[in-house]
Amino acid sequence: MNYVKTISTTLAVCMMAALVACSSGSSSSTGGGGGGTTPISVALTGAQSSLSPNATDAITATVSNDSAAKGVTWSCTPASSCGSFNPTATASGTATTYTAPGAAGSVTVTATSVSDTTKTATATISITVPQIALADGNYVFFLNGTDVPGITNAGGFGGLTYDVAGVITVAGGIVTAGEQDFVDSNSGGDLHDAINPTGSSYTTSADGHLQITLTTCTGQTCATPDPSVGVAGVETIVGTPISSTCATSGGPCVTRIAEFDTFATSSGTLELQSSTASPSGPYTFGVNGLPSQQVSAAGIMNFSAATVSTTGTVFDLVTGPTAIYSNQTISAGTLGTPDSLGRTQISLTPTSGSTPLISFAAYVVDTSHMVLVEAASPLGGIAYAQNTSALAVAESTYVISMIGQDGAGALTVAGALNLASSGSVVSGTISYNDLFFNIVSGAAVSGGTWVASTSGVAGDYTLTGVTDGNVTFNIELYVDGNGHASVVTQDLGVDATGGVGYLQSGGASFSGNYVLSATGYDGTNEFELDAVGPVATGTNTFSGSVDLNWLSAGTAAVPQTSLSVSGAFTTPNAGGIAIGTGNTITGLDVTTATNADAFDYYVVDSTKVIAIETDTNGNQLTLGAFDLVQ
Amino acid sequence: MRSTRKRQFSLALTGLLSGALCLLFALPSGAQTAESRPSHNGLRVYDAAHEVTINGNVEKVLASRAGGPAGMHLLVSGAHGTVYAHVGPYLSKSTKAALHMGLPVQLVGAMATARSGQVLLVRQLVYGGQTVNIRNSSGFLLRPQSSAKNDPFAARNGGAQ
Repeated sequence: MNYVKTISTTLAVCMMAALVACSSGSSSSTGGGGGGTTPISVALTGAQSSLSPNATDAITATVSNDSAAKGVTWSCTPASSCGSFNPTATASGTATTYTAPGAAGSVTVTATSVSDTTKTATATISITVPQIALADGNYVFFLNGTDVPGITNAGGFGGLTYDVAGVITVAGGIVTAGEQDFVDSNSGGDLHDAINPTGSSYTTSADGHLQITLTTCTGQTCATPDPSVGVAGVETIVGTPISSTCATSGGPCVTRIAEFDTFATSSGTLELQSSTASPSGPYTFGVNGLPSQQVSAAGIMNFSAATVSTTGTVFDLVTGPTAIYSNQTISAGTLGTPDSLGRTQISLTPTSGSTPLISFAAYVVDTSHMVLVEAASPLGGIAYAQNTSALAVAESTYVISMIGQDGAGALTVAGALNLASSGSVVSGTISYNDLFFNIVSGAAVSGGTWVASTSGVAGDYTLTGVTDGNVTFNIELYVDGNGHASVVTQDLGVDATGGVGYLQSGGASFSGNYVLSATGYDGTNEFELDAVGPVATGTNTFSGSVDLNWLSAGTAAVPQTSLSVSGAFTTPNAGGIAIGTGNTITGLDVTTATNADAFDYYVVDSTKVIAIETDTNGNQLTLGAFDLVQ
Repeated sequence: MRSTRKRQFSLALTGLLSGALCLLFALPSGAQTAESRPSHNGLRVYDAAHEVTINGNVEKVLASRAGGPAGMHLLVSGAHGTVYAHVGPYLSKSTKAALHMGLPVQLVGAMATARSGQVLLVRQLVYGGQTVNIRNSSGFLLRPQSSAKNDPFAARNGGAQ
């Protein structure tokens, strides 16, 4: 009796074990055996019961009793909307990487024995969208891009830029107030509009991205939306947070965003505001735009009470590049008192009467930085408070990312510039792309020097003759002492280019969950494109999805939701650079989405990577950034 | 255009003077200057020192050409042979409408090698008694003006004719 009981218990245990083994994937054993007396069976491990859209999961199929050791093939349902596998066939015990579809739903994943296709194992995975919550507070946003009036005013080609900056108040999950400043080539200057809470909101889109709808007022009158802004006065913005604390009171919360409607495409940021205090002391700034010709400026504004001090304020400006204004000082400058949402106004009156007067609408994000929109012309950018005790640059490397124009049209530049103390030599690596004449991947910088600028203002450096033997850049570098820089070229008659720089730290990796944001221009009409979305790295690869907007129609932008994006990168060298064969991004190519376009990667640190397109297929030029989610 | 030339001359002169001052006194210039330039720069795609004038007839009008530069090209045949001429994206509607096969044209510009091959970057197009300025003297395409009022940065280049 005990013997029988023992056998019964053992059988029960075995059955329970079998059930447990099948809990992450059920197996089928219909049909006959596969080459032996013991039937083949398939079991799954690693399949999670729930995944986010576009998330990846390593799933392993173990095939038993398969004397031919042919492994399994992978499939899923519902067909065409159930995700993908890489690889699509694996040996027993080897994992495949499953990428979930971009939208919510239920998916069945199946591993089928190659030796006996009647033997399968399945797992059901629920694709669920995590909701993005924004804690109560004020959020400062900034976007720089191209809108439809810009295309129209450029004769149906290329386009002229627009900039918008503002702040929205979020309380209890809804937008309760806000204001913004908008400038484009059609607006006749700055449009300072209130944001109407009615018709403004934020939500999580079906693909898990943040989506913000802002309904503008016409000035401060909200009876009708501003017809010059967005689609009939309504702006649609998408984004992906790079902060994991956006739902936490006090944040921080930083989100990469893009305008995502038919009116415009652009890239920028949305950040939780932690201070509306008036800026004080020196700020490094940079602005960029294409009012009717490329304009780039960088410099230092030294704030003192209600003024911008004539001492310690300097900027460099390039227009065209038919005119260059170097080491410009000011004869007067004013700083307004920020309103309750942190908006203020700044004006700079250059000493030279021939230099354009600059007037900014500014939104304070915190005590370290603010965003800027030029009030009369579509130029926009950012200003960082200087850490005056850390403005030295000798023996440092700055990763730069710039966009502008040369004689061929749009131009992108990225690189890592080493500033040696010995002999003030500039070395490093540089990549650039103007689509038609100069497409260079990772060239060694063979010449160049740097010195503290003759302006005498701390944090202002002049890099001269930075060359790879083919092109030569003269660059003004303004550093903030906290790892940021603004850069502008000073190449009269050659190029007008500006952008940002980041102090590189050694030993950086490119690994984890990132937000990819990218901007660029197609190769046919040089219409702008912008993309933003989450990606996750694997071993020298990444994958994810982006929302991509492109002014492809000329008369309207064409937003595309949740496009799959993937890429590969070689292990960055000691200088944080990955260039050449094996460095690609697939999914950002607006002409052929399956193109694995060549990119160079410049790693700033473990939180940021700059990517520049360097292939010669002529489809487009793209400049991107990866920001680590943390 | 005249004021632009005067401005460029002024820029160059100011640059020379301030450069000299810097050398002599090692003082900040504090004024707008033209940076010194190397003799070769790959980004300087337009070689103003070697402009050519070509007379011929339009053989074909191309809205764009693979390998660029972006915008309209004319295939022009004449005594010199056949050349792809880049007239850019910013021609006015009336100019675009006037360009057709067989139209006699005069082109002033500089040859360059794009990914598409040799191309004449046209600075000035003359047809039917009309003169159209397409690039400035440095070879930069002239974009239409922004319509923004009081834009301090928009009125530097003139615009496409």
